[in-house]
Amino acid sequence: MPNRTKTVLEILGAEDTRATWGALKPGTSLQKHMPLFPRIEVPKPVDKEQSKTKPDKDVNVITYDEFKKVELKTAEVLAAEKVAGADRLLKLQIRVGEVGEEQRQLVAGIAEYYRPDELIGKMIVIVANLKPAKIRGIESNGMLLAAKKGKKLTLITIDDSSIESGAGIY
Amino acid sequence: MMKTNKFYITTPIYYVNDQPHIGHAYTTILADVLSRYHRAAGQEVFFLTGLDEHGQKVQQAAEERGISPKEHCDEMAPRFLKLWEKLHIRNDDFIRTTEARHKKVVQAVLEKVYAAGDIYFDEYSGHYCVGCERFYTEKELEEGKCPQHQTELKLITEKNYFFKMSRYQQQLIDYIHEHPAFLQPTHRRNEILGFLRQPLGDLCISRPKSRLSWGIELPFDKEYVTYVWFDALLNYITAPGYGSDEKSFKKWWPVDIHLIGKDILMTHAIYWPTMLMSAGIELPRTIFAHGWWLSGESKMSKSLGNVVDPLALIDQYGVDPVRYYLMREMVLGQDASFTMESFIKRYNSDLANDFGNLLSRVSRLIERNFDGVLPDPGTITEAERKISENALNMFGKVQELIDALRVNEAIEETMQFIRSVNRYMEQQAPWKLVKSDLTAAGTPPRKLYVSARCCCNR
Repeated sequence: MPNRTKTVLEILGAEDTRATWGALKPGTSLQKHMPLFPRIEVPKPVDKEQSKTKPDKDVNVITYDEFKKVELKTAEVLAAEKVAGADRLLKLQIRVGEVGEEQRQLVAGIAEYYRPDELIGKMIVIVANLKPAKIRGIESNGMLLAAKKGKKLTLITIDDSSIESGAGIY
Repeated sequence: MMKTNKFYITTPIYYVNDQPHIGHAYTTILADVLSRYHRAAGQEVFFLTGLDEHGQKVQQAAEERGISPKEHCDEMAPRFLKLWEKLHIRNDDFIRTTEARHKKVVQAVLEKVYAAGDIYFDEYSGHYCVGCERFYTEKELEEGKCPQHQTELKLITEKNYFFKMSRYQQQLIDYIHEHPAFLQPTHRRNEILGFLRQPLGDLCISRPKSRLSWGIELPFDKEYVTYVWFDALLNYITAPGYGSDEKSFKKWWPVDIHLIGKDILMTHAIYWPTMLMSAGIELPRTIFAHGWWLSGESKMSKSLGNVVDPLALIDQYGVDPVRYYLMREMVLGQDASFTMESFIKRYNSDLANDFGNLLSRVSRLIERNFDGVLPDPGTITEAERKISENALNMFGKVQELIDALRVNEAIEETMQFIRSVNRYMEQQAPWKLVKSDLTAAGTPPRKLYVSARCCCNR
C-alpha cells in the first residue's frame, strides 16, 4: 500500500526509515487527518424471510415496556478459554463497568468462530439481567449478542473507544 | 533464495491484443510488492514488465482494421501502461518485443543456437489453430477440432526449422533435481518432472512468411519468421542488456524470480531453460507459477463474462485497498476467489477496523489531550517492552515469509501485530488514563509508528 502508508508517516511526522523501533520523536506535531480507510457501508438487502412472514408479523410484536425489561450492556472480555469436552463452547471472564467493578463468567457457543485469544480486549454486548444458568456444569451469568446467518457468526462489538465498559444499550 | 545485493524480477510480457484484466494486474502488483520490499531492504532492484507484440493474432487484428501491425501495437500498448500507472506500479523497464534492441537479441541467440548445431530444417505436418498459434497432433484434437477453441482445423504440411529441445531433456531433469528453488511451488515442479518422464519432442521455431509475416526474421533464412514463444521468452535477457551491455547483463542475470501464471508453466519451465542451455546462458534462479483468480468456481475470463474490473474498483475504493486485497487473499501458488463480498469484508475488518482504527484512536487521543504533539513516552513498562520485542521479531518473520514468497502470510503476520497493539490499547485504555495520568497515555503512539512502517513495504 504505497500511498496510505505514506500518509500515515506524514500524519505522524516520521521519516521513512528502515525497519526499526522508536523512530517517532517526542515533540513532533501530528497532522490532522481523515479516516485512513473509511468503512464500506453495505446497504442491507431486504430480508426475504422477513417480508415473507409479513402477514403474521404482529404475532411477534412486543411493546416498548417488554423490550425495556432486557438490560443490554457493554462488557470487556478479560479472559477466554475453551471448555474441555465441548467443541462449541468458550468460557469468558468479562468485566461490566470500571476496573474493580463487577466481573462475571459467561459461557458462549462461539468456539467454532473465534479463538480465545482473539476475544481478549473486545468490547462486547451482553444481556446483563439474564437468569444465571449452568451450561455443562459451568456457571454462566449473562448472554452475549452475536449476528448469525447460516454458518457465519460475528460478535456484536463496540469499536468506538469513547464508550466504556458497563454502558447501557437502548 | 540466494542473497545478493541485487534483485531482478519479471512478469510475463503480456499479449498486446488482450484486454488488461485482473490476472495481469495481480502478477504485476505482486512483482511490484516484491520489488518495493527488496528496494526497502537496501537491494538494487530491476523490475521488468512488457508486451508481446508479434504473432498471427496481432497481424489479423491489424489487417481487419486496415492498419499496419506496428500501428496496431502502438495503439494497444497504452492500455497496459495506463493500468500500471493507476496501480502505482514502479517498474524499471517496459519492453516491447517489436523494439530494435529485442530483435537484435533474438537474432543473436538464434545464430548461437544454430552454430551449436541445435537447429535443423524438416518437413512438418499438423493441425494448425490460429487462435492458439500452434500445431496439434491427431491425438490432441477433440473430434477433429481445436480443444481450446472448438474450431475445425486444417491439416497443414510445411517445411520448418526445429530446435533440438530433446537433446537437453536429461540435463534439464538433472538441473531441476539439483536446484530445488528453480521451479516453484513444489506441485508445479512435480508436474514438470512428471511431464519430463515422457520423451521430449523438438520445438518448431519458425513460421513461413507466406503464412505469417509479423515476426522477427530468422537470421539464416529470410523466408521465415521466429515462432512467437522463442521470440517472447528472450525479452528477459534483452532488457538487462544481453549482447549490448555485458556489464549490466552480468550484474542482473540470472534473474531472481520469473513470476508467471500457471497457464504458461510449460513454456517457461521447458522451452526457456533448454533454449538457455543451448545458448550457453545461466538459468533463472526461480520460476514461480501462481494460480488463477476465480469468480466462484470458474476462471475469470472475458468470454465467461465474469471479469471483475480492477480499474473500476480502484476508482471507487482507491488503489491501496485493491492491492492489499489481491495480495492478502491469494495463497501464492493456489487459485483464489474474487468476490465483492470478500473484498468488502477484508477491507472493513483489516483496513478499517484494525489498521485505520488504531491510527485514529492514537491521533485523536493525542490531539485532544496533548494539543496534537507527541508526548514523551516516559518509562517503558513490561507490556510495552514486549510489544517492541514482538515488532522486531515480526520484521524477521516477514522477511523470511517474503523470501519464501508467502506474501499473504507476511501480511497476516503484520496484521497480527497490529491487532496485538490494538489489544494493548484496549487493555491500557489510555482514554481513561488521560484523566489521571497524562504520561502513561502518551506511550501508545510509539507502537503505532512501527505498525505504519511495516505496512509501507506492501
